[in-house]
Amino acid sequence: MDRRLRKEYHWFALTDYEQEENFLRKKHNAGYKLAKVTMLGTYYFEKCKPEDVVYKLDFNPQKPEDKDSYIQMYEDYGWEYIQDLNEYSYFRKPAADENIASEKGTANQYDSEIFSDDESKLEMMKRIFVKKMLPILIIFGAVVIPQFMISLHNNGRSTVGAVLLIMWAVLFAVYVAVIVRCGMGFRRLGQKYKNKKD
Amino acid sequence: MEERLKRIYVPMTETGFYILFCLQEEMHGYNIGKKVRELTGGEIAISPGTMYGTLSKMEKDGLIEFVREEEKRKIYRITGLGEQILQLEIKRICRLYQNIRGEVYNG
Repeated sequence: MDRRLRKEYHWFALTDYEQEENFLRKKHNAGYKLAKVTMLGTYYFEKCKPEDVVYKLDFNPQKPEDKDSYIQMYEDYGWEYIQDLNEYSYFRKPAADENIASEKGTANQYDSEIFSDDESKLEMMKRIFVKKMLPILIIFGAVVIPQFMISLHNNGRSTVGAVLLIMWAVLFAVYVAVIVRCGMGFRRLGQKYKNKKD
Repeated sequence: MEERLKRIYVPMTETGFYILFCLQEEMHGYNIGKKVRELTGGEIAISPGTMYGTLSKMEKDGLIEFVREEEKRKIYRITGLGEQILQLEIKRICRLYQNIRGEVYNG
């Protein structure tokens, strides 16, 4: 690993992409630009000139042959594509100068946004739910709960049984924690995008 | 026309309407965005995520079709079905307009 890169660990839930965007923007403002992010919330930063750069995450998994045109559209709008992780795409762009924006008219307020209406934000949230949350719920219902019940029923009559029971109990707790956390996240985002419309 | 599509697209979001309206000519995403800014005096901007998402959805629903790719940019145009939905929407907006001006609307 490059020694000039600074490593940091942060965990963001499926629904915490806005928090992640703010976190990355703050880092860039403090003079650390994102070099890359890998699984398990490992962020690598490169020292840079402190600048107000907006970071955005889009979740829109597409076929490999559509990837180039997807990135090209963002580049046409002035966004730099950084990378993909866990099917989220990371983009950044220098923040729009507010003085210039007000001169040119209202349309510029969307220069630092990747979504110009709440419908498309809701659509992205739905894509995350179907592609990421649904599999978690299915595994929880079809595997974790039954296995946990079975080990509970066997009640650790042997050493192996006891170990299995503990393992399934831990998994059960982890799944419940993740589902509750993300469930609250989806609710919060849904309310936010829907209320703004009124 | 399918009832499902009517339910989704009539009435349309402003973004949806302008994208479909622009695609009466062949165009790629960024150019649609530029055209919409011109048409609306800069009042309506369509960001890339919204543009990409709307184009994908409309293509999937058969309102627009992919024509060809030029320098990694996908060019689309409206289909017959898209034209039908656009005309429904235009008729609805004309009715609104006539009503607002106090004119008589005869369907």
